[in-house]
Amino acid sequence: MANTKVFSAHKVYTMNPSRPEVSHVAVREGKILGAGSLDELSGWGEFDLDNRFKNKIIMPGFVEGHAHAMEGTLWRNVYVGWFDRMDPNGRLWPGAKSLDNVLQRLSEANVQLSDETKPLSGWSLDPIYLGNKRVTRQDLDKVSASRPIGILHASGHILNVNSKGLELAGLLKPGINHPGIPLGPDGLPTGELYGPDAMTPVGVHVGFDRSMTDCDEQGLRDYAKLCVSSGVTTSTDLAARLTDASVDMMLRVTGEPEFPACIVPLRIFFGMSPKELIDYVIQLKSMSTDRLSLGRVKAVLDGSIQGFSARLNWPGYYNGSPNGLWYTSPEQLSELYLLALKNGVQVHTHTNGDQAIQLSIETLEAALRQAPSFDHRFTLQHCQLASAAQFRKMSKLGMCVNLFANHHYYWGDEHYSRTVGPEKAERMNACKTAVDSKVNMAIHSDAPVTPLAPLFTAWCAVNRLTASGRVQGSHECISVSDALYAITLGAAYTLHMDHEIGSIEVGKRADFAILEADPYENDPETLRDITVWGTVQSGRVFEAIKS
Amino acid sequence: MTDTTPVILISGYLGAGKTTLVNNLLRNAGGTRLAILVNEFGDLPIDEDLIETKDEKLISISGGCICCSFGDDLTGALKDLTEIDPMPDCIVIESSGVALPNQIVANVTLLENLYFRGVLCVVDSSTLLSKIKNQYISDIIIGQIKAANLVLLNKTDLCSPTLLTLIKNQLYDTFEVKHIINTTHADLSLGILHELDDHNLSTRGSLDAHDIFESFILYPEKIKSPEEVREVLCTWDGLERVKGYLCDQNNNTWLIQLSGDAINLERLRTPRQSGLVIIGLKGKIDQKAIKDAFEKL
Repeated sequence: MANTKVFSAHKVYTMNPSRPEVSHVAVREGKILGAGSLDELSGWGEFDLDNRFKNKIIMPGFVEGHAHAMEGTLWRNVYVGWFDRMDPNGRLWPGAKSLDNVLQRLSEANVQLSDETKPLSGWSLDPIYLGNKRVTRQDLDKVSASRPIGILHASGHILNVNSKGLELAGLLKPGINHPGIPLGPDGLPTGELYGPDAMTPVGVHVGFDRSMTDCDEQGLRDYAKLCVSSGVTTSTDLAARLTDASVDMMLRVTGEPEFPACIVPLRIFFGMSPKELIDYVIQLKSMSTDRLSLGRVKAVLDGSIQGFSARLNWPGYYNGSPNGLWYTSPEQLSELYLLALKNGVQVHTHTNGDQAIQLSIETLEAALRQAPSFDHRFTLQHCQLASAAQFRKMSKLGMCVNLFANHHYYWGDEHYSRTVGPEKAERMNACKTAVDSKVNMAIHSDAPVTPLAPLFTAWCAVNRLTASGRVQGSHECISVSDALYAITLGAAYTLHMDHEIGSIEVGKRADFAILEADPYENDPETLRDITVWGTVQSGRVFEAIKS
Repeated sequence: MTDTTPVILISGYLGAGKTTLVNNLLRNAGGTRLAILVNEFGDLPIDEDLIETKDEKLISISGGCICCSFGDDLTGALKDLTEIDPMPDCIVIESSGVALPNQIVANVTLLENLYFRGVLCVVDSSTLLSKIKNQYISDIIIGQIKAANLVLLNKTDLCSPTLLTLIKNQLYDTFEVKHIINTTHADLSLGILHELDDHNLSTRGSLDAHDIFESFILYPEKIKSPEEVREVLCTWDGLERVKGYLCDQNNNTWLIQLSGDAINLERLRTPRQSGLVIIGLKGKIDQKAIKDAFEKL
């Protein structure tokens, strides 16, 4: 058997401008030997021809620049979201379109649990789509009054629990005075819990424990299955604690022969001083493998827009809510940036509000003056409310952005009418401005907040439709070509990995997304409907599981 | 209240002196078993000489005190403390520099066996005026100050008297601060923590009983004009609070209040007997000189 394999395809889109479309791609030792005609590739010597993709489209493997592998773990709970969503085993869960639907689905799961004390946990609830009807503990008590039940909202910022859950946490009592715990007419909590402070004490009793943001072993394997079914060959795990035990687990699991993706976990800036963190991350970097790339930092500067905890510039929130919170102080950020630049460590910073974006830009500019760094690629994650002036500034400073294109679809209507108002809502996730300003751009899902599906994310950036069907900010729509660049090379660049992945050209890793239809030739409005057959990662072929 | 443990929150922006205050409290705990909760152990929260043993989450301190880090789970850490036997005498939370107290206070109220006593906000007087002009953090700092039962105005030695007056006026008038204590190195005895709730601080008795303040009462004769009193009071350093009634030669009664450096005079309709309570920093006010000055009015 030859050590070279040549895949034929209906078309190979390479993202390499010198030969953008070819018919064949040759793979040797997990790397791309060449992209071209069969005739050209045969010059490399003996090969096996693999025609299984001859009617399909080969693209560079998609790169998800902002997701959390915990999505894999969440799927062990009951999915009660409003939108249809595919689980790791290829089963499509239809959206739960009414509260009765949600309760029915929970009841079915309840019957299957034998142990009466085991909690029942659901996830991805979104009352916005259930006519904004609040879910109460009495609703969930109908599913079971004896078993603790908890349902995490799609945003991840709200938890609904039943009476038993409240009781176990000692909160089923009158006299509670807490902004995150609304009370019913009976003076007892309604069962809705807002924000981590209110969620954490009850969460442990309903199956959501303290270190929920980290995926576990099975979760990581399941997450990788989702990568295959969405065409992703490289994914970040954007806010990991990376304890010794979790690094050990990730090295082991990603090292399994059939693990189908490269995972890029970023160490969150929390619980360590900047100095300790940088030292730790440098040490982690040396442990990197081909399928686990370590050595980057994620800082969280502000909160979320729909949670009204993002830091906004004047005039603030459309509904008059007070400004949000800093999750990292300006002083700490400044210390972190300077140390990171001096040590060549890359920092990705969560910024949602335009004030957080402004602070990040100013802090980096000051740090760069002290520690000039010509290719730092510091990336603003989400960066949802950046203004045109901020994009121009980011461009000059060599910053990258990873915009939350999906947000527009899921919560765009909410942003327009309630959180930031029409004008800022229309410029949210300003992909076109980023492209025009020559800021390197990726777009992301933030899975599990929205589903891992780069073609859907691209569709969002191209069409800017909200869930109600309005085009919000048509000026910021980008071309299919720009969107596909953002989910491949654009995202790879934000990770300093564009020399290895993101395009199909000689010498790069043989990472492909295999599609059933041509994203360039079809109507841009159907981009999200393209079926992903599976992936090729480091030359290994993975077919998506179909249920 | 006997079987519940008081919780006190120390807030204040980065660099205000929260950690110094915590160390001073530990140093002078005098047998009170304090449990200090800090956000994280990042930059040594406790002076080395106080530490007996230390691991990742808990520092044991000489004299039966402890210090724990709570990370992103304050509620969990507080809960753990309520399960220690015997429970600490007092729990002090040192919040992160960018946290607002309200949420933390609300969390404490969720837990059994704890009651919330009050918020003490440490303010660096030497940087306050520039910080409240900083677009990124002004609302946070003002929020911290407004939520406090007591402001510990720190590093006053780095401020000119004029600047200090300016700051105190702003704290009292604009930010509606009720109580201020001046310090240079976040020095505060433990006693004040026990009187942190508004009720106690508002009671004259508790303040003058405390070892950092002294107070005395004057019964001035009829004065010529209230403006003269204002002039007299302005000349004395160390006055924290003056409140009482004065009668002038035309038999008008005046309510006089000094708070920080602001002096308010208000004419009352109902006559009252003259009498002034004067509170100042212990050892910093000259009672005899003040009495003499009033007698000359």
